[in-house]
Amino acid sequence: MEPNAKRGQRRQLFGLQVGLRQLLLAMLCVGVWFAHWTNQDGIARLEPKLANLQSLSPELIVSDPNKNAVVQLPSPWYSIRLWEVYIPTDRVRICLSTDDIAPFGLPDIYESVLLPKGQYAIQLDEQNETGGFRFLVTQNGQSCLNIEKKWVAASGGSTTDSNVWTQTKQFDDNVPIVLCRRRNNVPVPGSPGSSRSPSGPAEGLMLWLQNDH
Amino acid sequence: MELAWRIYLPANYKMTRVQRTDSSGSTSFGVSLGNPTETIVRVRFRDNNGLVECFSNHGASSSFTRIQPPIYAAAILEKWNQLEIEQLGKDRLVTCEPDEEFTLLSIKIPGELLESMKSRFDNSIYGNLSGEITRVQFMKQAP
Repeated sequence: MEPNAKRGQRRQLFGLQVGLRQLLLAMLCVGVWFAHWTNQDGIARLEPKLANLQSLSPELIVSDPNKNAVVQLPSPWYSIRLWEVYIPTDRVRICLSTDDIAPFGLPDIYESVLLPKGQYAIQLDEQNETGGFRFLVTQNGQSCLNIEKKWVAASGGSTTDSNVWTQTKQFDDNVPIVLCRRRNNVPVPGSPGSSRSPSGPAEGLMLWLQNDH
Repeated sequence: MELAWRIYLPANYKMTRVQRTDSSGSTSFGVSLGNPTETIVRVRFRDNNGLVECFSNHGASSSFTRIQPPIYAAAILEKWNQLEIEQLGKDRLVTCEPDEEFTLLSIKIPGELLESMKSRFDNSIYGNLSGEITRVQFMKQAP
């Protein structure tokens, strides 16, 4: 047979004439498609597991670097609450109040401090001391707010409205971010030892972030 | 001291932490879990000026107690390495039958150690102590 005739030789495959190049290309296509299909199948199997792991171990994921971001971390102790925050500007205050806490809105009386921009841990620690409580807020372990409150011990319970963000939540900088809102119950007149939820603003504990106006 | 487990529970399980208070009494803290749950259970002990506090937590619920009586607190602070601490799944994954009650954690003072420690405390009060400090268990409950 002539060499030139050899080059043009083709194989019969399912009644089609295919050359070696086409055969290799078809095998390559099948290989790539199979790898893609295997990966998609693996991703589908791992996604529910990943969602579970994310809820077990919350992580701050900042999708929009121009917005504030918050995620709540597991409490290391009964009196401690912990958040990881991302603040994109130098204009955000952290505010702490123990009086005039209404079911909605922000109280007028509070202590606050400007937070630096960046990503760090915010911790709220309620320390039960003789004759009252101390509320200590730290930023990456550094004390930034500290309120001592001589509460009457007979407050008889409270209502807590915590925003539990186990996955990162992002906010525009004009939206206050309420990390914790707790309202102490009030005594029931004429019924010693009984208490009920307050109807109006009450003593309690509120921690939030707001833009510095 | 901290102990932790990652666990999966089918629907309708109840977690209970039993804490002995004296020779006959105990307190227990329970929470029911309606839906299937995968979570991390943590039990922590902390020394607060000689008082031992215990914080247990899983998912959204938690409990806090002071370890009583003082002989138990002293055992945790001073003899932790000599306590009988049974942890389910400490070395390997453990699978329990769906309706099986299981104990995640049990902390006890061994008999000899308990007897030797009683001499430091009022033996008339602690005469019949069982030695069990705390236990965390899970049990199936009706939906």
